[in-house]
Amino acid sequence: MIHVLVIAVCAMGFLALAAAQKRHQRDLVRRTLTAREIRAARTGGAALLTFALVLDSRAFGLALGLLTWTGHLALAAGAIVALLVVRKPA
Amino acid sequence: MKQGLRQSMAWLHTWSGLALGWLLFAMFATGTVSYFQDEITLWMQPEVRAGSDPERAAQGAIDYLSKVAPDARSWYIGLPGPRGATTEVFWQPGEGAPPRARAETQALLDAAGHPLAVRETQGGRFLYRFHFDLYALPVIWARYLVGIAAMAMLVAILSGVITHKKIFTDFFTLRLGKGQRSWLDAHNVSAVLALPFHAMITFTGLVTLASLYMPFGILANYPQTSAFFEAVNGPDKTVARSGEALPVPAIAPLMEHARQRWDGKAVGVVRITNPGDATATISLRRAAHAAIGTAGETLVLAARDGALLGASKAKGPGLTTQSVMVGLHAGRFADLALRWIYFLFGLTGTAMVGTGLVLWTVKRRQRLADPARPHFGFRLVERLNVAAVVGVPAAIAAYFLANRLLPVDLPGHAEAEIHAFFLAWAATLAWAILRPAARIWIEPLAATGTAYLLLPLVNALTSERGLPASLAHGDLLFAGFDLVLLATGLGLLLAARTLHRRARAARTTPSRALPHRHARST
Repeated sequence: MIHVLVIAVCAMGFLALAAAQKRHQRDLVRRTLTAREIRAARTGGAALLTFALVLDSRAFGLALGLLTWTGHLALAAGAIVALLVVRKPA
Repeated sequence: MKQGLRQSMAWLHTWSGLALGWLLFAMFATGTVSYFQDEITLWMQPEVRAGSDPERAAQGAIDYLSKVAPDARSWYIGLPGPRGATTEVFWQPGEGAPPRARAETQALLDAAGHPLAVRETQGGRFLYRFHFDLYALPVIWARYLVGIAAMAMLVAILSGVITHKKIFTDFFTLRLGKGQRSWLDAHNVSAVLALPFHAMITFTGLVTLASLYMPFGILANYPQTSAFFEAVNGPDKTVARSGEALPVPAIAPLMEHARQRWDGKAVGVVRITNPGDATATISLRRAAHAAIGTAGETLVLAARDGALLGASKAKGPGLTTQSVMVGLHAGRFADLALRWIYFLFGLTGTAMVGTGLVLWTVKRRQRLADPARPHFGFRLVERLNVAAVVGVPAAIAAYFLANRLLPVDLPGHAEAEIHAFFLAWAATLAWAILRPAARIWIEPLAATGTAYLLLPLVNALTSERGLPASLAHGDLLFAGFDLVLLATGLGLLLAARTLHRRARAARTTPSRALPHRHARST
């Protein structure tokens, strides 16, 4: 269960990071974001990814937590890539 | 001609990746499935059902060995972990005993210590050994070859990161249906998303065999390599039997003692020297799954009074680091969730190598002087790509099919399965060489996909643990295995269908031909 939770947190983090990129804004929010919103999305995304590390290291200990966290990060990033492919207008 | 750093790195990336790409693909693929080595072995021995527990299994093995090899020099008992169900035992025949074949001094036991009547198979171990020992080559040559490939992989990863123009901008980018652009995106996404894993697995892979590749540190400090291993593992001295009989003591309390000493970590291996004699020693080694590091704690106890004769020495930081790195590579400590994560990233690594290989041809196809008659190097790469990328999955499917379809009591069943593996691989290579270029991907992909779809059916017909039965009984291992086979088959067939449609579209409307494939319009 903890895996699903942390992957979800990472995915939200990456979603924010992707939304901060011009290329993906049209697919994700259907408009361009303002500079302020971009900064907020970046900070929020980074904060969520860090929070995921905190969750993982509390659940598994620091050593195994770091390892599991890199796994969760990559899985979540992959999910966002898949989401962007699906949301891309054909 | 002076080149920028990025261009020279691109050159290095292309050629270090291509030169050993086919071998790397096979290593990545077999290594990835080896994360489920124990599960593959269990699937390939459907006769083995009941679970086991280490303490009962240890006592069962000792009872068995006391009957079969009472005067052996030593017994080795590999206990089942939480993912296994069988106990493996080996023994060294005693002084003066006639030399015997290895097959006669080993056995596979159930928890009660009864030899298991199972089909002969190497199971997951063959795929695991192939990952770094290949097959039929002298082991040292194979390991050097594998080491060179792993080093090329490390070079390709580092030069790939340097040559990647927009690693952050393109982080989430995957544009499909755009020819070369899509292949590059797929290569980048598969490589970058799991970059920490790929870098870790390649580097730690080299570390597992580091003392073979770079023996200089050992040679500089020890007269021989054996002296180094003695210093690390403790001397392997054999004491002559005293002749005074002493039955092997009950093992469970000793295992419990070890477990308490190691903060609850279980025993994985029991070794007993001079069993049945007053000079017997019992050594207990920590189970591989109980911690990340592979250099496990060891206790050596006297059978006579349980006195502690030795414990694994405190190892230096270098050896501890190596032990953890090897552990990270092999992932024996990983629970089911983390094991799946390892498996998935193994797949992305395999995809990274595969897309890289395909990209080499895609990039060069448009630049060919005459696309209808490419030069020899291009044709070679194009066909070897099929032999690697489709050949390895085809070989694995044949290995599984042979396990179920060959007569269970066939002499040399295990060898025959391995032959099926290589025959299927060779057949894919032949297919890729003999058929016209437009068909070399589609046909083997479709055939291999069909083989994977047939596997659950064959399993249902030849064992009592087919998908309906395993789902009904909550047999998660068999159900999961069959479902993964089905998913693999569907994926391969989908790939074949996509390529087929694209080829047909390119034939009927040449103007819409995709630039990277059958570009007849030029």
